[in-house]
Amino acid sequence: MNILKWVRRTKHSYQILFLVFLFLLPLVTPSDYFLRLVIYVFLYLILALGYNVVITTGGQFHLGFLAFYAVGGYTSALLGLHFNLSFWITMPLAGVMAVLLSFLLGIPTFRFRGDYLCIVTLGFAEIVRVIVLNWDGLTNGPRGLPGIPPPQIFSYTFATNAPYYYLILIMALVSLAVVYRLNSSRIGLAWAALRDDEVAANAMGIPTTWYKQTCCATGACMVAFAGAFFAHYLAIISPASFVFWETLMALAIVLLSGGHPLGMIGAAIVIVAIPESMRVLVKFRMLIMGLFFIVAMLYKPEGFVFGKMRHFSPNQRQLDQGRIDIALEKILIDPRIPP
Amino acid sequence: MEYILRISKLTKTFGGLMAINEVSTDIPKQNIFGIIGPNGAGKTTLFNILTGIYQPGKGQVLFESRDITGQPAFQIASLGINRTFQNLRLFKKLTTLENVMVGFHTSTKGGIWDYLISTKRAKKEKEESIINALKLLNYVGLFEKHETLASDLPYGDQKLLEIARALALKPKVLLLDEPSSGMNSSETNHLIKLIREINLAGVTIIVIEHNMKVIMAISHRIMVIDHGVKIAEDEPDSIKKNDRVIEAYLGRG
Repeated sequence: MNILKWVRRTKHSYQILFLVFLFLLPLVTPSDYFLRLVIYVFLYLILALGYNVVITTGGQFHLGFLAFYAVGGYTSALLGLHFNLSFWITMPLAGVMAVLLSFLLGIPTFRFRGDYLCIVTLGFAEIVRVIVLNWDGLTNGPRGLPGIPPPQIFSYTFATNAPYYYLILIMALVSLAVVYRLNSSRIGLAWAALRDDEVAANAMGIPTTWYKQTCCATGACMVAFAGAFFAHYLAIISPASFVFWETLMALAIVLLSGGHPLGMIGAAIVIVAIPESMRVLVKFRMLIMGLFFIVAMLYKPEGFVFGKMRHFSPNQRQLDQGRIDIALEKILIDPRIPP
Repeated sequence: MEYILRISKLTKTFGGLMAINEVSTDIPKQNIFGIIGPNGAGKTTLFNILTGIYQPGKGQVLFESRDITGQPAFQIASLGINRTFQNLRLFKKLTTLENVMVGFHTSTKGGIWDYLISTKRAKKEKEESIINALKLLNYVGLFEKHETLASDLPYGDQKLLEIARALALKPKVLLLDEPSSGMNSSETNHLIKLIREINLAGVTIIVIEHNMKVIMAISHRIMVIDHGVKIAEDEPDSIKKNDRVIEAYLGRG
């Protein structure tokens, strides 16, 4: 009974209980296969969160994220294999690499908007995949790079699913926190403004091209971290992992959730679990996904569960302070220039 | 007299069309400066050049004796030349409050890291922005609608929100592009009062208007443009009697 009382009294008690459950999951998991599925749920969640920053918040229909996923994975893998660097160093470097690439790609591509941006970035993802496939000397081509060293903490080496599970859980939680923090910041608001009206955003003093770049780089970094995890988790990385299907999975999660980060957790479970439980229908999965996209776009473009996430909403104290009548001069006095 | 904006021989062509042809004028500080002219005369084009949305073909714009010709729009906006749009360019999927808060972008400085680790600076900035945005909404009379999506506001309110959003940038020069279009007479009266108050608070206002009652009532000076050419500039009473202006509007008798 005490627990029930605590649940009722404490703020955010459900979230805390859910977190406790997540941290205990490896202890109560029915099978290793199940834990593996949960790891994939979190992996796709991070991918979707990265996509979401750019597509839902920033309004840039950028489909080149698979490239950042691949670059993240290969950077981390190659550094681990050739330089014997620890995963804790190669993962941030994978992020740096993806950010640099995203800026480079942004210079020509952010001259495009809408459909054009979509096609150009899609092409970019494909180019990266083809390079990875054919640059035999570096990437070992279609055979992939086997034997990627597992992460280590001091002398403990990751060997079973459980440590990987905790790693990806923490990565996912951090990603969620990043998304929430940025969402209610002047930067997140600027991204949303340039999504709704680029000309007006520019007239509000927002350098739009730079903000598109930072938006894309933020997403790219998250996706690259996921890629690095993926490479070290499987211990092998090959071009076969970076086909357009992966993009579709992440996009489907974004669509299903309507861009709400909490909805995305649910959406990731559905999107990962359904193809897994329908292995018989594996030949039709592209067809099913296509159908799903059409239905979602037509009937529920704002997502299925949550509404839109607000950037800022005032609390009662702020409302009271804002309701006061005030002379316009006081609002207009420019803090930038001392009187 | 002190001039805040000096425009000299500004020219802009679209293909073969002369949208603006060697327009020169000086806009006195803290005045309300009206711009009128028949449809397609080039009034909005002039605004777009002044705010950096278009690049001028020729000519020069001096703002507080500093050359701003051809600077990008976001830079001009952060200098203090801010505007509203004729066809309403609100951020439709953001709330009224958030729309105004976008206007604080240039006066807040917190970077990505400030917000990621939620530093004191970020918290303070956020708090101040929310309260100041509410104050501005209260001022224009949209306080109760702070949670409403911009696209759900009635037309008149959307116009007010555009003004509030521009005020958030703490303008020195405020450019209003047909602020009274689509407003009923009580809304128009509220608007006239608002424009005068903003002007009294020290803001130079340039206003494009088709409603002659409004423009004659509020302007200190009026410039008339026709086919991209300035045909007159004077005080409202003299403009009413100017032969070339009457000809441009009514044709030759």
